Amino acid sequence: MASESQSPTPPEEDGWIVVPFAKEVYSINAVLKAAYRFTHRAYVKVELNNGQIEAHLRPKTTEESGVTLTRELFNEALDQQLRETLARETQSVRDLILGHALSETNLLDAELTDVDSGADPLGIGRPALSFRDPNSSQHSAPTP
Amino acid sequence: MTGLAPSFGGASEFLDPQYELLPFRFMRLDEGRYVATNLAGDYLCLSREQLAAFIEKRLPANDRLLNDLEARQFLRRGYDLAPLELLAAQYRTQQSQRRWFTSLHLFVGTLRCDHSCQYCQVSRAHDAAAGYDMTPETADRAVDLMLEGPSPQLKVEFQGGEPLLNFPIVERIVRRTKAQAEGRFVQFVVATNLALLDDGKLKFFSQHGIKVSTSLDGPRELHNRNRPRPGRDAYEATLRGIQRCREQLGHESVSALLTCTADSLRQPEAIVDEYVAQGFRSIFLRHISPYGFAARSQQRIGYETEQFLEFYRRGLARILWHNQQGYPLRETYASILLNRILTTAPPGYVDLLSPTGLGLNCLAYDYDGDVYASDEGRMLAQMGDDSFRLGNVHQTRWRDLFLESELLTIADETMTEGMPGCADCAFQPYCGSDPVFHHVTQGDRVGHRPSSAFCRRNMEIMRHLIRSLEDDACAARILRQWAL
Repeated sequence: MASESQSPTPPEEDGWIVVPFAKEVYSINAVLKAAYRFTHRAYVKVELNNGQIEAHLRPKTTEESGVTLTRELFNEALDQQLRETLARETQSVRDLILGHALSETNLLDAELTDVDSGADPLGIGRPALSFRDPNSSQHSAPTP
Repeated sequence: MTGLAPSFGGASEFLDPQYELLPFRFMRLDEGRYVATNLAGDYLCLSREQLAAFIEKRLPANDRLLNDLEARQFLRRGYDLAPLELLAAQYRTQQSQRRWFTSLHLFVGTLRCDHSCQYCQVSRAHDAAAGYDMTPETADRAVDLMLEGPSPQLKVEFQGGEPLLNFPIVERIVRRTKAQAEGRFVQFVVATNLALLDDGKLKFFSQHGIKVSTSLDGPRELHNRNRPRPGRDAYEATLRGIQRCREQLGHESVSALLTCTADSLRQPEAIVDEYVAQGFRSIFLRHISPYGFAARSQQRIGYETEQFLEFYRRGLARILWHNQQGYPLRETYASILLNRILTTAPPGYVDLLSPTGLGLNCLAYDYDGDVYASDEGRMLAQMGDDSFRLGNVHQTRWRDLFLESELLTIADETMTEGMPGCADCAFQPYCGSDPVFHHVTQGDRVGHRPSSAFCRRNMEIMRHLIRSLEDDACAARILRQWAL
């Protein structure tokens, strides 16, 4: 999160506002994605300056408040950073699910790909476990 | 049985406290809430703090929110395969119609029209003009081309111009299609202003199970102002036609839709009331499109997106009010979106598909044999821009419509799953890319989402529907029925 020491600089003469982001907290990709969302309201550039990420904003209209833009950019950058965390953990399973959805084969459990549906290798169609039989294995039928 | 042991602490005791995130998207719904959607589009509303705690795995194992998230496949525990199977099955179901390729085929039998509507989305010709009718040879070739496609379900829609001005071509296309469709399921729809309806045409509609789609813009004064014709009786002619269709073909055989002009913006309640007075069960609150004559009349009849959204919200409120009074009336666009939000049914609305529905779901055959990726692409060509022309029925083979045109490139570069502004959007599972709209309005078929009127309009309508589902139990009860 942007700290007090990272407050945006006041507008320069040409109207640009510089919004700093600590690179230890934000990725440049998150800042880029966040900044993109403001490109209809401001001119935007993102750059690295002495190892720090800086978003430069210049409002497109005089009605647009630089303070509001900056606050909204901070919140959006937080969301983008959260999305990166989420994407890191879920990218591979996303690929797996979509691949499985669009594939003719069973990518989730390859053993089942060529199995006859009537064979029931996982015992799905068999009666439930009997609690009276302590020796029954997971897929075995209850003892008569 | 004496009940559960006092030490029993609830089902959460048996839950694996560890969980794995499953893919989802999220974004701000309003000041206090975020909306998150899973890979198949199931949604959940939660606070920013809950969202962050969930992603950062700070939620306690017995938190009820985790149960909700698990039930909607936002997480899984213990490498359980069931949530993955379920998400894949839902996603596959949503995409299931894409394997059959194009199902909607639009035929323009004539460009001529007896109306001179100021917003007309096509470049019409005067009703007595020559050279704007489809010839029998072109019609036959268009039908043959359509039937080269693999889809087992076809929807043949007659657009115009006014199709009834060249009715022999309508008859020819229907008969040829039915004769050669070989067991496919075919629906026919004629989009007509009904002014030229007569007994012979009605009999043909009845014999071949043809549905009728007409335009009703609202009360008499508004309708006649929007849709001028000689005699200034468009409203009366339309109502007479609706009545005759209902008597001959059944009440549900005719549907109507409206185009919202600047004049309409002031009176959404009166427009909705008109639909109720005329006995319709659905109404489509359509914004004006930036094509054909509508583009040229933009200054006179156009409006801003925010104005349309206010119109839409007021219109929807009126529709819900009628439902509460006991009159069942659906808003068509809300129904399309609710179907996406609340079910896994395959979507069919061309504007809201990814990959785009252009060509892949819809083809338009113009009166001169030119084939377009959509009706909007055809309208654009009438304005001098043939960017979405795929070929001509006399020169182009079926496979070349897709493989020798720009179509696959367009489909590839406009997939919302990878587009800036769309890839992270929580509404991505419900939305589409509409390359023609962005080509026209932004000069780029991918488009710039932050300034896109398409994006703004759809985002706000979806937000409004989800807020209604979450915050208004009475509205939610009605809206949930629209998704069925």
